[in-house]
Amino acid sequence: MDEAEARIAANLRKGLLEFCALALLSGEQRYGVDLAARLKDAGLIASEGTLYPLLSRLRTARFVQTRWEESPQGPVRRYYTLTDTGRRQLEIFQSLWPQLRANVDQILKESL
Amino acid sequence: MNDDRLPGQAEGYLIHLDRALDQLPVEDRAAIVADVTDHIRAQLARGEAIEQVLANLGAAQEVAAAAFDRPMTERVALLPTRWWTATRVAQLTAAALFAVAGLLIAFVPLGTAVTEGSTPNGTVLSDVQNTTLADDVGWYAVMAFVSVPLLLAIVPMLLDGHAHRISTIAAAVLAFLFCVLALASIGLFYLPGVLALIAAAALLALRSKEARSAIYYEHPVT
Repeated sequence: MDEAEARIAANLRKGLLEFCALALLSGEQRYGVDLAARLKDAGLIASEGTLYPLLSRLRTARFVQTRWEESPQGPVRRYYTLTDTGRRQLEIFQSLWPQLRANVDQILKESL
Repeated sequence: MNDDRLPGQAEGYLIHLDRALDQLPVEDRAAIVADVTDHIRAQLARGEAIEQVLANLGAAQEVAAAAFDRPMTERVALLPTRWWTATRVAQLTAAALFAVAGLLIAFVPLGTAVTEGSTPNGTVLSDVQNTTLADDVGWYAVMAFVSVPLLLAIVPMLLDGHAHRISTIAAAVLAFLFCVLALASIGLFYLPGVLALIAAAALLALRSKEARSAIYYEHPVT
């Protein structure tokens, strides 16, 4: 990825990452490693480590909460779940996103 | 929590990350380092090589940089907010204290007036009368003395958001200045209410500081 591409991708991700993390947590609780892998596969984070500052912010904002659970193998895991406040934020994003996406697609189509 | 020693590279990475986060509030910094530590332990437990785990995490500097991206929304606004904050309670208290002060100023005699005269046969008579502020300066001035402090307490209480913050601080400053300037005459009556307004502004500053560093962090149950 060249420099311009990396910069544009980083700017695009910035507003979306938070809500994709909330969306991944809306169905089930997940632990950090699992969230990091999903978001990295989706190209929403450049490296797995950058997830953790985001999770810290979401926790500070009380959009997510954590609890510890035994794992079948290996150390105890910290699981993340959505709070009611977090769920409301996700719902707001879900209500705004389809229209915004359609508008951007339309503008891009006209530019072709 | 597993207390097995981590490989040296992992320890080095975590120390580097911790240093790179030194501009963050201490709780945030500790939470991020704890999460990354857990991440490393979990990946190692799955049999991954430490070199691969650290490569996937990305450079410590890069991880730290993500912490300094501005959040989407102001943190202060994200906290669940109640309308009756400590600041508004203090402002309501100030309003009540100003109301009492206003009644005292309007109706309690504060001064004396001496009228002197002489009778036709030469005896000097003097008549000492207690006067209220209204006698001295008139009812319009009294109404101003009563209503302005009340407004300083009530208006910031009713405003929201940025206007609430600005007006709370402005009202405390104005009320304090007024009280000092008038200390020799009626200022003392306003002192309790002015102190309540200053408390309101101080509580507001305290709350925004707390909101900036608040963190929700659960401890292990094991």
